[in-house]
Amino acid sequence: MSNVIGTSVSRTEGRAKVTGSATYSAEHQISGLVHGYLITASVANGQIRAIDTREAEKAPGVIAVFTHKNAPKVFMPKNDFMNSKIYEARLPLSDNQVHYAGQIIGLVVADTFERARHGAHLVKVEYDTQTPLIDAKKVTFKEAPPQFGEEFAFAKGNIAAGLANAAIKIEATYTSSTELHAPIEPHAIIAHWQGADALTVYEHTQWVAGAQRTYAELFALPAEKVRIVAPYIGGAFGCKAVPWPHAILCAAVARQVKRPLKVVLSRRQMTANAGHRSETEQMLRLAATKDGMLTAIAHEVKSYTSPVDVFIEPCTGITPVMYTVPNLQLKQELAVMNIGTPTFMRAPGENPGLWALESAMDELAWALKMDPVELRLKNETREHQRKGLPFSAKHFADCLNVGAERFGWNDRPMQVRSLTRDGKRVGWGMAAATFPGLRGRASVKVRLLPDGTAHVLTAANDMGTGAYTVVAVTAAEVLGIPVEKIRVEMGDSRLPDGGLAGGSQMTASLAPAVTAACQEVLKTANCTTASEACAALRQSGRGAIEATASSAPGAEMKKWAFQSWGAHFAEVTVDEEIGRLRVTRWVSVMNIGQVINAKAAASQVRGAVIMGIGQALMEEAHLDPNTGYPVVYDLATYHFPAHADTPRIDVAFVGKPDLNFNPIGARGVGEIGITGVSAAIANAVYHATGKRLRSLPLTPDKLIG
Amino acid sequence: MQDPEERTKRQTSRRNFLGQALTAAGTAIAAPTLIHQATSAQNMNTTQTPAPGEMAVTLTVNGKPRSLTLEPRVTLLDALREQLGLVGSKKGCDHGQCGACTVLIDGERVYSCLALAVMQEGKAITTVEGLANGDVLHPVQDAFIDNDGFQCGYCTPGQVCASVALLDEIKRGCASAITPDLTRAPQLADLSEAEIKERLSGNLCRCSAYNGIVAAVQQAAGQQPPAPAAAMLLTEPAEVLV
Amino acid sequence: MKNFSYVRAASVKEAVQQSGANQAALFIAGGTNLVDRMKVFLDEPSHLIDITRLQMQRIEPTTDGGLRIGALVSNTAVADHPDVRRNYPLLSRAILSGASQQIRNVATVGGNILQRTRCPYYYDTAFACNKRKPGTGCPATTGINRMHALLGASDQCVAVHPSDMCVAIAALDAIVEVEGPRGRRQIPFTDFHRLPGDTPERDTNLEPGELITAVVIPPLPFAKSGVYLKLRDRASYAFALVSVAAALKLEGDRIQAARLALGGVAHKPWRPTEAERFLIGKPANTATFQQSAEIALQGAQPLAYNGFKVELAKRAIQRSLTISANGGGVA
Repeated sequence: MSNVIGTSVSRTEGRAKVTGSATYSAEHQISGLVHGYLITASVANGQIRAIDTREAEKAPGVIAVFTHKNAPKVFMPKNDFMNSKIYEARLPLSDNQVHYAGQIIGLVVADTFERARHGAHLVKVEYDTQTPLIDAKKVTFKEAPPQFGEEFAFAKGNIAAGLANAAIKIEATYTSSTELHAPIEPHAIIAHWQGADALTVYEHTQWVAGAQRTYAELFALPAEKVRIVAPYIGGAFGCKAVPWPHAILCAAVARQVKRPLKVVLSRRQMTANAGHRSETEQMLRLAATKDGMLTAIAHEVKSYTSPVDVFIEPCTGITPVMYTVPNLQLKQELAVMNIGTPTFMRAPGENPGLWALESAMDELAWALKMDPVELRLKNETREHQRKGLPFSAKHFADCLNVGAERFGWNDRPMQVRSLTRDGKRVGWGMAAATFPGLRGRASVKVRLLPDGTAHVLTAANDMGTGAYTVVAVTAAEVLGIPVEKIRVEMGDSRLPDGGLAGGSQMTASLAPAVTAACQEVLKTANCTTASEACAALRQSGRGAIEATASSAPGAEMKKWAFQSWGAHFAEVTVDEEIGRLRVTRWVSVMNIGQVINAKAAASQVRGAVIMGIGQALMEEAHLDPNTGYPVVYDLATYHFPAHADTPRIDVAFVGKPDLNFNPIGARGVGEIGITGVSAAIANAVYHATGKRLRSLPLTPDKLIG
Repeated sequence: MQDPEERTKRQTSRRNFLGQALTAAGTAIAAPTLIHQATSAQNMNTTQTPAPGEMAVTLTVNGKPRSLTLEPRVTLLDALREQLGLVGSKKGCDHGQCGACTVLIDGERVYSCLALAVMQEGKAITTVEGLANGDVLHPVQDAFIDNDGFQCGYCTPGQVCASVALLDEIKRGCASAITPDLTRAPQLADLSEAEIKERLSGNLCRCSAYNGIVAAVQQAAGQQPPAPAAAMLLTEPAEVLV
Repeated sequence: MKNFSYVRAASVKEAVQQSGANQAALFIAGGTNLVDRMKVFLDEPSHLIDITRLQMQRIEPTTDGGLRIGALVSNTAVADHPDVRRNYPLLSRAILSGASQQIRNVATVGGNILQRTRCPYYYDTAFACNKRKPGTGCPATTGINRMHALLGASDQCVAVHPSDMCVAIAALDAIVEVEGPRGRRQIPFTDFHRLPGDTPERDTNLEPGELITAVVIPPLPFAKSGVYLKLRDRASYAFALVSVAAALKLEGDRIQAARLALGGVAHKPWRPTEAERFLIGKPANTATFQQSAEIALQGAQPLAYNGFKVELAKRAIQRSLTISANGGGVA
């Protein structure tokens, strides 16, 4: 049946990207454009006592300077994540309070970028300051409130008894560092008002329709008066889902100055104003019988948020889905610090959660003298232990077995410090991967043209995931015409609402809608094939047949738990004398249901694994302990992997389409690849060196033996 | 390696789209504006006399002389993007830390964000827009598409330009920090993955399409890279169409 | 970046004159560090003198068998020069270990020597910094100082010199030729950069208006076994936590002569001369190398976050000497 779906297809937008003709947010050519540059706070906790903009206002080319004293009017949106959402609940320039270092305290508008930047430098600010709360040891933790309607605390069985009666116990604390999304495209927006009551926003967004409603609410406009344009997004990873304060400010100021206005964040400005993944501290207690059956898991998590919004790094979400355990207890705590607002970053919760759990499972396997693959196979759960629902189309065991085989895992000596190569220690480690199968409502319009081509139109987007190609492949499959004859338009709010590119759900949401719309076109044409329909079109002289269809999750959500699965197998070398760790070999096997494009899906996994290698080896943001100002604030101070850090990554997909989930059977692949990666590496380092490292990243200082 | 026929199709397919008028029939259709193609330069102040603080310069970009008036503080990158409408060169970090702005100056790769435009007079500047020969892509560009050497595409122009330069550096016998014997630089045929990675490390890719980029360079160097697709061990086909 | 006026100098003499006529003028060549700094207002020159057209672009042999490298030769051209590759591989490898090909293609020898620290406190005007504004204080001493100095620092400044090339040049005992308002002079490379002391704003002993015109590398036959080892948080394209340039001259297993320089540990490329002297006459073995590493790091004063670099530097020295004793190569 399947001709195109599941094959290897080159990206349909590839030519635009390799020739430089793909247009990103800051690149739309609009006449009369002026430039904004942010003024940011140099203190982390205090009030602006005085702000002197006179010199800036007099500087050549400067058009206007905005601060809290002349802040343009915006309205608080509903911010419920159903209709609208902004990343930071405090509206920009709403008062003179500074909550974190680098916070936006003004904007200079000038005729050129250089003049705006210089103008911002000329603004003089005086502060009253208080000692910032930035020391994780000195802040107060409270039980985390529910996030997006989900409670954190959970208990089943009797955790005390489960721990007390166990033959083998592991108790350990794992920490992860503050991480930056660091997409290569910096945050950028052009706001262009047509009069005072119609706004066009050129801004990368992972949620086009949500951005449209959000900007409409921010300016008390009907949604149809706002247009969002985002055909290309230069990487997002969670930090380009909804408007940040700079974008709200840009749109508001553009209305005031009556000119199209562009604001692009510098890397330093991104550090505080464009999100991060909170550092975490996770205590895990595992208990098991002598033959390796888990009897208890207690998972306690601490993370941090900013004074102006709440985001909880939800690490305990994975604990009830991984392994069967009669006694389970979850606890998630949160503290406020004078830091920028953290947010979703690729596999929020799942990623740091599995760092801790999969490290602890490795420790348990060593304590049991059991192969870690066997330990996981033995404790696999058939149901989601919190939802009480069975997993649909679960092939976790296949991931483990196929991965072990592709890696050659069975040759691994069950002894630390047992492998060497070229004078270096060699270690093999593995870990599981998981991510929920999510799906949202999506609408798609399909238009069939007499020449045998088709247009697929939806306000979804492609932030590098391959969504353009997924849509084209799906339409090609259903219509039975070649991929090259499908033209996909996305990233414009004038198109039908394509849903959110987040939670790895774009494919699972869109592909069924594309399928339905294509089928609807054929039905409207009263034909069984597209070629028949096109012939009829040519005969009738009509220009096109089109249909719009939507799809959304339904009753299946009450019957099944949908979850994707995977396993990573890693080889590292450790040069202990000089603390040099390299990841030298990698196998990932994923069970994500139906794969739409074998090439792009593999790239998603490879990219995610490498981002995980970054988390494991080098990614770490710091604030100055005295002032709270970031000392890691650009791409020289924040290291993420370069070419030289990356091994070739072998990717395989196993399992079958999850047809309980949607008619295509696809569960999505954007995030699962990063989960478990850092644990696989730390587990390999333990095998290589006998050193159990529980604090990320594994930098040379932690590795010199 | 790429099938020449597929390449031709690729080259013509986009042109067809560009020329395509969206026709509405039957019901009234609000034709969506095709946003991607708006690329005309907005600010080509070619004949103005310089204002105070500005200078007149002529840059040679992709073989064409381009006259500009600009402040000396304007970088080559900002001149390309903001004045010449050549937005293919990307601003990723603006501090020479990511490589997205890489262009070729007199054939050598350079970060245009750290180069002042006024200092580039008399030099041949090639941006990603100038690599293809009309509709025929540069072999490196084709190799990036074939090997999925990009995801979001934002670092891609820099990676492509850097890769073009890298191949030329190999032909000229340049060494890298990890070249085992400095007196014997690698040739295209024996250029190792490790060498490619070291030599491209000045171009960061947060999507981490690194495997595909390395494979693209291997393909363009005449080597046989591993296939980019995953091993598909699915047990049953999709049942989509009934 | 503040705007500035821009001129191209036609000769060294003219450049020096133009500089003398304007106190707020700076020379620019590759610009990879200067433009970077100007963008964040660390330097705000009102005038830039473009020196890229000056005749300082050649690498030529000296009469005694060394090399004279013009100040405007690109880092790439030095690293790829056949004589450098053959006779001074540690210099090639040091340069190639630094930055990226794109930067090395335009960065010049003179500019590399004059690049300034990447201390994040220096590099952002939100912080106080004695190097940027004397007398305002050094937040790095009590801050995140993981990358900072172990040796020769002061309570005024704990920044390190960021160059890789300079570590090799220090080991090679190079001479810097400069020309200024008061004529030409030569400065031994090891005296070129300064320790911070009470004047951290001064990186070098260059006088105002002076221009580096060339670097002279003396002949050193045993530099063929030279090694450059760079340890960092990322496999490439990152500044050093610690780096070592080393070269040994052996007769049998006895060390006849030794060169050793460290990067990432001090305000200047660091020559541990006592450790070099210790090596002479000793057998080339692990015990010798360990002892010399101990001597090299004697007097190290670690800060709150960089204590690990003491051991890391010792290990790097041992490793480098070991490789050099075996004939050199990739470290």
